[in-house]
Amino acid sequence: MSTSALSWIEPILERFERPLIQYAASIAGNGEAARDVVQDTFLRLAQHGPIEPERLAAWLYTVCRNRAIDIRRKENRIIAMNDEHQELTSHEPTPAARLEAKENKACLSRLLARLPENQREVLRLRFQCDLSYREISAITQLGEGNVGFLIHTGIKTLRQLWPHLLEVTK
Amino acid sequence: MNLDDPKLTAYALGEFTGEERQAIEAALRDDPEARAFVEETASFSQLLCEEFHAETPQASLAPAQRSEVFEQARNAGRTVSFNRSLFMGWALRIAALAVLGAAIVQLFAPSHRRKPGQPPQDALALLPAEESNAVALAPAKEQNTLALAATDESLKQIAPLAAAPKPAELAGYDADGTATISLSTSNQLLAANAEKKSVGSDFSRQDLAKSDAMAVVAGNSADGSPLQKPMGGAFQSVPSSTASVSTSQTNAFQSNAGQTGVLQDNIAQNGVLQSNNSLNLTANQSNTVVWRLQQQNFANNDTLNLTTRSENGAVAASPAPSVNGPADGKELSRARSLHPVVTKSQTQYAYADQAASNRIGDSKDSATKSADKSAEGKLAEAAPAPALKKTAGTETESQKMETASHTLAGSNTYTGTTTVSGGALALRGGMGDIANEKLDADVRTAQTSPLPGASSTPSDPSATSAPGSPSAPAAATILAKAAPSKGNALAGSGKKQGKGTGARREFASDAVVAKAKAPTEDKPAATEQKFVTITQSADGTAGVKSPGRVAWSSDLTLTQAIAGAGGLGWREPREIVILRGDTKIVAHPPLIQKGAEPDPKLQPGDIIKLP
Repeated sequence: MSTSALSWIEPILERFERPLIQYAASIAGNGEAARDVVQDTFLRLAQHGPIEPERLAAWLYTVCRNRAIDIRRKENRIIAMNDEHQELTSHEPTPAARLEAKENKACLSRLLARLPENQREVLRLRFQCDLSYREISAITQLGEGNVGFLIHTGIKTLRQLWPHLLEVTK
Repeated sequence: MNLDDPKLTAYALGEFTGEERQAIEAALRDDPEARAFVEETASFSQLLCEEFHAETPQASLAPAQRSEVFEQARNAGRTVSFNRSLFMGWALRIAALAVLGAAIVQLFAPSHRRKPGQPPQDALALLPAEESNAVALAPAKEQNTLALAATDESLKQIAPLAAAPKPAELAGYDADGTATISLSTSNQLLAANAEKKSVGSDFSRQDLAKSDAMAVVAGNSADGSPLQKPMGGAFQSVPSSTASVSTSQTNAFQSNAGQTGVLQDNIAQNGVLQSNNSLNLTANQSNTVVWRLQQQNFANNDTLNLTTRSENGAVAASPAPSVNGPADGKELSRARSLHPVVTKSQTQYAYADQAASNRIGDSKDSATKSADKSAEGKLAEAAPAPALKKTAGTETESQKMETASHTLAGSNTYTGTTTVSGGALALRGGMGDIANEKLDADVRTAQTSPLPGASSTPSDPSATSAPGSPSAPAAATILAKAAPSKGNALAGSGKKQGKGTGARREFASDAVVAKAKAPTEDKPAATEQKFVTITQSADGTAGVKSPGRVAWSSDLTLTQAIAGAGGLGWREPREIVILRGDTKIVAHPPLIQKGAEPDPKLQPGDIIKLP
């Protein structure tokens, strides 16, 4: 392994690896699949070569997002078949119920679940990935004004729900 | 500042720099409420940031995965035969097919079904929670009619109208059928640019097409702004169709100028209706509406009904709509104008013939004028110039389809030349109200210049006519019916243009010259002596002793006239003919003597023909 190769990609990997995995997991929903998505993202970066620092974050998240959406779309097709199968054979609590029970422990997750998906995504990109409105706009293909609106609306909703939820969970 | 402005949130998150940031900071200096909002938003955002980062798992790529990445980076640029990404893509596809195949096998192989207690597949947990309505939100970018109708709070928030139907799409959904957008009460529609917009704004350029209907229900403005432009743009209708706009209950429509009233400039402006259309505009209850229909074209058989049902609001119709007739405008029946018919609770406009250039006497025309309209038209189809020209006063004009009458009321003034070429001109009421400085001269002229081709037959005996002048059959008859207490004088001055039947009488100065006089029954003028004429056949077997003229009086009967002529001869005729103009009256002396038939009263100029 050449030193030059490591010199340019290793710090990028160190910086973006975990945020990308978290972001990919929010879309693909599966930790293992999210790691595969992020690995594929870095493989593409390695093949592409170095990217200007100001464009790097948007590039990585865009590739990661597209790959995660592909994975989710393919997974959902299989899920649909399994869902049908389960209705015939299983009497266990539904996965959604299991997920809800698990989410009861996570205040933020519960709140986010109440938001529409596009609001969830831009909030995550803004507060978890520390991206600017412009970068989020480039990644999601939404207008910058629309991004601002979604973040504004999302924060407003969370602010309204947050005290109530904290009170309920006490 | 508006606390619902996303710019405040963006500022709190440090999105602005330079002049934009300075502008917001300047605005915040004078707005403590906005400053507090920014501080709270920044504080809450910091909390969110911490929560998100705390949520981040400590997951990372496996060592093998990292090694692959480094290997790829090392080989980049010198390995072109192996496309890692392509390989991964195919690998994923193959993996997906494998999973799909496994699912199919599982479906058809009961032995491979998941057993009770076996944990479900992870992927199933990825389905959206039932309450999240993610499925409903998914298509919102294209046609979010569903989102608009939703009552769920989260849907109303997401529904904003990045996703709203585009202005031009209403008819586009189903151009051949019925497209309806119905907004229920209290929907909050938000625009994509984060500015709250009223419902109507999103449809401001909507063109309604065949059979489309748009209903705007009250209360659809959560932010309190009024609905604006409920339907802008051109109203387009196709032949033989009906389109309507209705609003109900306490909607306040405002014009761009902020004036009261509103379905203006947006609904019926520059529209074109073709034949057999019906445009119905209705505003119900408590609306204050000013109808303004400008440059609207109507054609044959089109109707326009503006109805304002107002229980509490005002009914206004100002200014009078300006409506163009069809382009040709050749026929009066197509020269349209609109006139209000205000009833107790409705203001309706219905077609009437245009005030100007009406033809009166043409049975196919009809005219209904409102007050204070100028009349400049022809009293006869063949008249060469406008005849009745009204310059002041009020006028009520009514022309029926068959009788073609023209009735004037109030104080009227007419100028210009009047031509009467047919029909009957009836003057009713107190003739003393008619004044003209040239009237006396005209009367004098008339006394010495009888009008051939026209006979004046006043119902009052004080009228004057030139006796004994054989004239051509009258094409126009002037009937003057004065009030009993007043006398009438009919006269005309001007040129003779009569040519036998159908001759016209043209007044040089004023159209109809008539002047009322003081009652003259007690003092009949000496020059007003009139006669009837008795003629008989050559053999005289049934004649009178002295045929010829007999002085006429108002109570002169046939029997008295015969007696005045010396009485009948030795043989009484069975019948006597009285010629009165074109009229032929037959009397029967034997029956008159027996009282079985009335003794007919004679009129000046009557000709009594004995056999």
